[in-house]
Amino acid sequence: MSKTILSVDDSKSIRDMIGFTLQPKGYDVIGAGDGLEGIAALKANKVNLVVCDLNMPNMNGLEMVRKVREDRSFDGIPIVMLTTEAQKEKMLAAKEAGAAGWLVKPFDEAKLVSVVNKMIGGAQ
Amino acid sequence: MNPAAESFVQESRDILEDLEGIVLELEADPSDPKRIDAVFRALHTLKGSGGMFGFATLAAFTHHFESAYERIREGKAAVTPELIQLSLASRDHLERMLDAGPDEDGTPATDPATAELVAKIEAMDNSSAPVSAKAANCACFTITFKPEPTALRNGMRPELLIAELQELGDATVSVSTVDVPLLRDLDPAVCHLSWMIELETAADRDAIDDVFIFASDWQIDVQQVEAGTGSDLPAPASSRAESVADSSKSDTSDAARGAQKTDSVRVPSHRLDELMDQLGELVIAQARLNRISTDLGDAGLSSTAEEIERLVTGLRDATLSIRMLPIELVFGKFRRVVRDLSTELGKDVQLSTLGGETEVDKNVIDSLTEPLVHIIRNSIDHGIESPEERRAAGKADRATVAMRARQAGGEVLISVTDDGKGLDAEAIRARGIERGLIAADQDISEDQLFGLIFEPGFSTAKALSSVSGRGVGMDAVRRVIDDLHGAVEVKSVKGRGTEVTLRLPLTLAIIDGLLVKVAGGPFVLPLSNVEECVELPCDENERQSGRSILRIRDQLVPFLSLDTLFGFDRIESSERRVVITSVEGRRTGLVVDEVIGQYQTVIKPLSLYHRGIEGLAGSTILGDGAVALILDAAAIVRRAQNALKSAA
Amino acid sequence: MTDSAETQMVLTFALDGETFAIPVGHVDEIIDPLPITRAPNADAFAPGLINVRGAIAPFVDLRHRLGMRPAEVQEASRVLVLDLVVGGEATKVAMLADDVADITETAVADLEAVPELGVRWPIDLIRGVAKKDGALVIVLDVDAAFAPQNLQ
Repeated sequence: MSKTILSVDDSKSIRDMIGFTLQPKGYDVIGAGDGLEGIAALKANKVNLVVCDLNMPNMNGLEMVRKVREDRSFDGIPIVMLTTEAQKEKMLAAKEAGAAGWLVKPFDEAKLVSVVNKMIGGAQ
Repeated sequence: MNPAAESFVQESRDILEDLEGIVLELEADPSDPKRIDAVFRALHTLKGSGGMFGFATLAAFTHHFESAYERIREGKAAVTPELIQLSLASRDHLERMLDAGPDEDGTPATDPATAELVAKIEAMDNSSAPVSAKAANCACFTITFKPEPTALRNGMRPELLIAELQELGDATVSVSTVDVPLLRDLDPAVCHLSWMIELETAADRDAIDDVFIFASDWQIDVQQVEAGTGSDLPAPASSRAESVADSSKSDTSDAARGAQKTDSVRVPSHRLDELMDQLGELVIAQARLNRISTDLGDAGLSSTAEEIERLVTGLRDATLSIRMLPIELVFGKFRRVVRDLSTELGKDVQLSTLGGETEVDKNVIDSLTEPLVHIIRNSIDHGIESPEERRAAGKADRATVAMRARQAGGEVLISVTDDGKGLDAEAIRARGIERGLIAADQDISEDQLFGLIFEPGFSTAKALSSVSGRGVGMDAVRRVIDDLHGAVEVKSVKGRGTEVTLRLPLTLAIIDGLLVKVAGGPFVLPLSNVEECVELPCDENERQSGRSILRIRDQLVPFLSLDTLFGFDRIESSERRVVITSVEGRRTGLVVDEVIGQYQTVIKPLSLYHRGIEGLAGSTILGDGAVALILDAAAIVRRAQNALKSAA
Repeated sequence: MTDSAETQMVLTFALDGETFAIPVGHVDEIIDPLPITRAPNADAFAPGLINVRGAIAPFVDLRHRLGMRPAEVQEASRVLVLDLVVGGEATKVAMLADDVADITETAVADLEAVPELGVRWPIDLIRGVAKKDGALVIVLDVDAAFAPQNLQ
């Protein structure tokens, strides 16, 4: 069974880019527009990895990481943060809160695939 | 062509021209990271701008070419003569693509020449990975890491990181469980383990740090064990200057590297084979010299012959030692096998290895993986119990499979021991009878009984599993080990575990044999299969047919004449002896016309005219120039036992 | 089809009173008879091995394949050492000839030119015939004539 990636981002183009990149590699990709939707999606689906933006309305990425890590039923699901060079401090805070890794924007498709593979060891 | 494309073509031609020079320099100094980077950058530029100016086909092809160099930059592959060749061919191909102009309709096209080169580049990626990388520029790192307690909850996967490290080179992984609390205090989501990894790799420190990029909050310690990786240790300026002054380009790089690295030389294995061949001829010529010297009885000649014999022996030992590789190379592959199998079968199994430094001939090493996989699969699938069964038997949940290697005399012993339920002698006996391998009332020792599991078509598993079912496997083990002139032994204690031991010769090229004569012709029996030689009892000598049994001390040993087995006419001989052989724990006597003595011999393979004959392992030339046939003791004994069975 | 005749250098030798030929390109050397080591359980076509200057060569019995009776080693007998490709491997093969005549340039005609020959020899082992001093020379098809029993 293929693995499911949850892309949490308020930008549709980023969600699409993640979908278009990872689907051909054999992953199922689902999307959520902010942290609240993201947590709802986590509850409704068996998700293997979350790719999460930092800045989002309603619930931002850092808050989402904290919420996810509070809930023991989400244990073991890695969260990869999308950051920019300028957001280093926030990124470290997210890491501290339980994010597993990060991707610095702008990133290319190869970088995304390699980080996802590194986190969960391939699509199968 | 538009002006922009024209300028691209011009720039690209310059790049390709430079590229040729860099690749050739790289050939002289394959480990120079600067030149590897330069190739990579040149290709990257071509790829990047190619697409923009309508050369998508060129860009797509360059991508493959670039990937090959990316792997080298990452230390996952090495610069080999093949790669240099391929690089030059690819460069020329790029030039032709430039000549051909932009893509017709702006979409990448494929042509057979491009596809062929791409296939070759990709084949390179697959073939050149760990071994060549290791040989190119090796550094040893000791890496210890302990994940943060919350790492598992956060979705970190230490095993993936270990797998990444293993991709960098030869990794020996050990895990420390000292921090694991008592069961009642254990939180399964908290990581209590720490790992130590010994990594031999061509990659540099950066590549290792990259593996841990998201694990910066863990306790990680990376130590380089031996000094001398070259790239990060600059050569003393003076020595570099000197060598530039007095020698050619490739010499300087070799000298510079020699000064800073360990004193090792990388040699293609066929050159070692050639050396071994020559040495084989020398051993034969030396045997001839001994013979002539004995015949002539000249004191000066015989002392010279003895001196030469001593030197040849030394040369042989030195040459053999070059071909020796540590068996760890094989053991290393099994950590993954054990891990995958135990997951697949729902069993908790750890692998321990001992004696990985034991050295074995390269050719033997190459053949060992397959039989060891079969043995380990068999252990985990049939030997190791489920955790529940183990608990009920008062054993630790986690089972252990131990691989050990040691050298004993001219042999290497490799054993695979498990602490599982042991072999079921009664089930094996029943199965053996059912399969017609033994008679219903046959009185055989437990060792012999266990030996049955190596018979073709034998399998006691009640249900066929995907892992080791189908009843193939263990007989394949014996076939491979027979081919290596080795032997397999099994020991097992019910409820305690099973030990399978492979006895292998140190080398395949030269064997110690017993030279005998049968019907006037010389034959060599591998000494590893010979237990002793005994007189042929007179009354037995008279018996022409029927089953012959010899009493040796307290054991009865069946025996058979080799001339009968070979279909040769019997010749008169007052020197007839019985050579007692031991194959897979079973003793069988082979009657020969004369035992000439021990003989060290070089195995020459048989031609296609004789290769298919069962019982022949090869041929050799004796000191007097005669051709002797080397017997495959296991096959001969099998044949003999079939003959004895039908005679009984 | 005599017009398909071609000219080539062959070595001619005698077997059981007949003259045979093989292209000189396949002949490595001609040596005096040597002791043969019998291989147990070998087929009759390749009964043993001999030592040709330090290299071990299979010894083949062409007489057996041609249906001739076995021969004793005579004064004139010679061992022909041939360079062949057997099953894709370059192999030196030794065979015994009753006598070695000479090397000659000859035009090989199709076997159909002498139809009665096909009755005496297995036709698939023969490439053609040539005339030499008025006598017939049978030119062997080296690949077929020396193929190991199991690859035939």
